[in-house]
Amino acid sequence: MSAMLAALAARDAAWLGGCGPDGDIVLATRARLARNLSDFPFPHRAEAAALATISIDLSRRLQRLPELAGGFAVEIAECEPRSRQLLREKLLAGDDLLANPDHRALVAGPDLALVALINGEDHLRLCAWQSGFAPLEALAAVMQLDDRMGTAFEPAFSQEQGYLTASPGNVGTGLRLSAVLHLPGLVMADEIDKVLNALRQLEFGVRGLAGEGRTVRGALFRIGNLTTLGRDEAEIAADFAAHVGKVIVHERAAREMLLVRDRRGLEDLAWRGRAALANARLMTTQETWDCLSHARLGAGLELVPNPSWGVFNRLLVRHQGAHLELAAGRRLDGRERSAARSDLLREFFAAV
Amino acid sequence: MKCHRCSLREASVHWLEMIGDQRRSLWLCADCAATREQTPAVPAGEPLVSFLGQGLGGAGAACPGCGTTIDDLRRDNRLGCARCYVTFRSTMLPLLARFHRHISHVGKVPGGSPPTTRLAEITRLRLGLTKAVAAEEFERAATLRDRLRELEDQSGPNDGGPR
Repeated sequence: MSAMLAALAARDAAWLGGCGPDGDIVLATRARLARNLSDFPFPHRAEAAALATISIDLSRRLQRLPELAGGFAVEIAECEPRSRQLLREKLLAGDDLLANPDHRALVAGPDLALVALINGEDHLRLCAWQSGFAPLEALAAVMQLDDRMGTAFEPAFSQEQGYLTASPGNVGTGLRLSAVLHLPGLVMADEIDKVLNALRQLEFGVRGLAGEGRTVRGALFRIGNLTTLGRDEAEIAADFAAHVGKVIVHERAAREMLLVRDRRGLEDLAWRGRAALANARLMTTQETWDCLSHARLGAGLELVPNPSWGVFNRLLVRHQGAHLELAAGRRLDGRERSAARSDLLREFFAAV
Repeated sequence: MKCHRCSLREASVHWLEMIGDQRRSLWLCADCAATREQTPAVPAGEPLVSFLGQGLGGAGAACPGCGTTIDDLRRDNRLGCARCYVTFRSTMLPLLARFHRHISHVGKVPGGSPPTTRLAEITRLRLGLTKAVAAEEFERAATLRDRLRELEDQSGPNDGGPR
């Protein structure tokens, strides 16, 4: 592993700090813009030589931006599978970037709040992450980054359809806003279907934490806008803020309702979760997602001590396999992982 | 409650699966949950994918920009280059209309020209407005709202001039 990759792997993203608005429920918000160069086919149709040119050129220009100074530049082809998995676990990159590693690259600022993905589904995807629920701030940050890159290349753009993207689902603004929400109240109150269906009617996509088609774990949902054409960026963001804001309100109401209905049951769940996190000597992934979810819910309702939202957020990333192996400095089998995971969790929970 | 899968052991894990648009909620015992964890979820297609497949007509010319054909579109669910949007325009427009409910772009245009500045200003004002309302600073909110209205009235739906 290169020195830069090792430094990136060890870095906790600033937006996992848990200090943003509604940080008890919303882990983070991301705004993403999809951009392409007008003179080249989109990545999946482009020749290797074209991809190499694009990757080198964009990566160099991005690294020169003051916003990304002192940050990271990673060639995906130079990452062994575990490092790629690390990027996935950190929520920085998905399969479109990692599945075909040649001439794919990632450039990120030092706190990992601004991230540029090169030659994934599109030539360039610019992302801005914010702690908590902050869609407008995320939008402002990504728009500024786009302005900075604006003069660097001729974008694929048409007056009629706006920014042209490989998937017609991103055409127009190329803007996708998404937030990672912890919604155990709605799940336990069995109201989650109602809320998710309403969101789908309003053209929002809902997924598990890691992105497309992943199983929902630990009551963590990723909600994002689906339509990108015909409304300007500010309108998309205002709409997102309004509707996802309502989900937060519903989640709070569901929690209060559950508390009235069965306080003892919730206390039990939260204390059991906490007890496992603070004491268990072998923790599987699934158990950890659940215990973190229950303890977080309990902390939100002030039923159990709260180590801080930042601790919960960082552990959600760091309890996963590639992070555990990185910390151990070697490959771990299933049981060793469970052991390492429980050690990590105890470190944070035993003292609280 | 007994485990929904084996019906033998006591359920301890609430398992939630998303398969495409379908959500399934199960209560499982620790053993069944552990097995289940090994099974990867069925990847959900982009919602646009299914309708791209449906909407595309018979074979036609390849895109002169990248050689993509209708069959390629159907297979990859992606366009090959910027030119494809022109080549396959008549096929794409109804699909865009169905998916996005719009067919023309509104918003930022390349070049960081005035529309971008205006947009940044609108974003900043909306942000300020939200904060002002939350802080119950209604006088400031009213000023911001008026300024926002002014800016929004200045432009029609298509605010990108020629590049």
